[in-house]
Amino acid sequence: MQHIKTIFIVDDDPTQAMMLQDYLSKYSTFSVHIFNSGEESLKNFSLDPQIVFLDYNFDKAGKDAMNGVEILKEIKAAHPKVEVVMFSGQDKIEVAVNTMKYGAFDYIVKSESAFHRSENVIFNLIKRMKLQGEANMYKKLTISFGIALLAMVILVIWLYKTGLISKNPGWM
Amino acid sequence: MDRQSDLTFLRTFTGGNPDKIKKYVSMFLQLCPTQLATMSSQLTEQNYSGLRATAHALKPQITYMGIRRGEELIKTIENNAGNNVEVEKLPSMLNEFQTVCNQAMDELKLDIA
Repeated sequence: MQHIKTIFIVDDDPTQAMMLQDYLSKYSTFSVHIFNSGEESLKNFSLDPQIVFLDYNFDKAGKDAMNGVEILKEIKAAHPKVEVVMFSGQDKIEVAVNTMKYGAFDYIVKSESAFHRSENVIFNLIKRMKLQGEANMYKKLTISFGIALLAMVILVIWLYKTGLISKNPGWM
Repeated sequence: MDRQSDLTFLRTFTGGNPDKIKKYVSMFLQLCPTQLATMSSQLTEQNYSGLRATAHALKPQITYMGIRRGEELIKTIENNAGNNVEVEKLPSMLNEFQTVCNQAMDELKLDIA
């Protein structure tokens, strides 16, 4: 997950979903898809989203509709690398803590500042992905260096044992 | 009569784009009467969990349309209905909420006309 290309907005409130989609549309690098239920979004995971903005309540989607936490659990179980940001009209801390417990990256209260906060979340995730990418690169470099060093030690031992090199070279 | 709605947030959000303002206001004008009717019938049926859910769903739109008094009322309605407290106050609160929303909708219709 090097870059954010696809974003899902899963919300049964069409105005909220459209406002967020419009807000994020200023970044032409993202493809933003709206789904009005968790079930619909799960069916479309072949679109490979990197971030899912997920509503906490799906009261309008019907009695049998999965709630936000159920959808969050399914997403994290099947696609652990996908980051889920919960959206809710509730500013109760216990609701936020509950969603974080199940792996949500962040929790945003639906308010006038929600759109700006969503943008910040995306930038924080991009920053984190970049740092993770760099950390992975350094890890690979360290391993490669270790392997090269080990190979050199083995070569020296082999050369020594075969007599191609000795403790007292002839020129000394 | 004082204005109930305030489009300051929407103007900032859309960068003053009148088409976008019209789009969001139109969506609200379409949604709000249905939600108000649903809340009324839920109150009549004493379906407080349903009333809480409808109030909760409508709350962000009330905020975005800058209906400040409506925001206060809908928060209290959501809280009281959700926690089953002071339910006897719900009819008068819902009545005031409907009056505020109706006035706000009239204002918004003129704003986007």
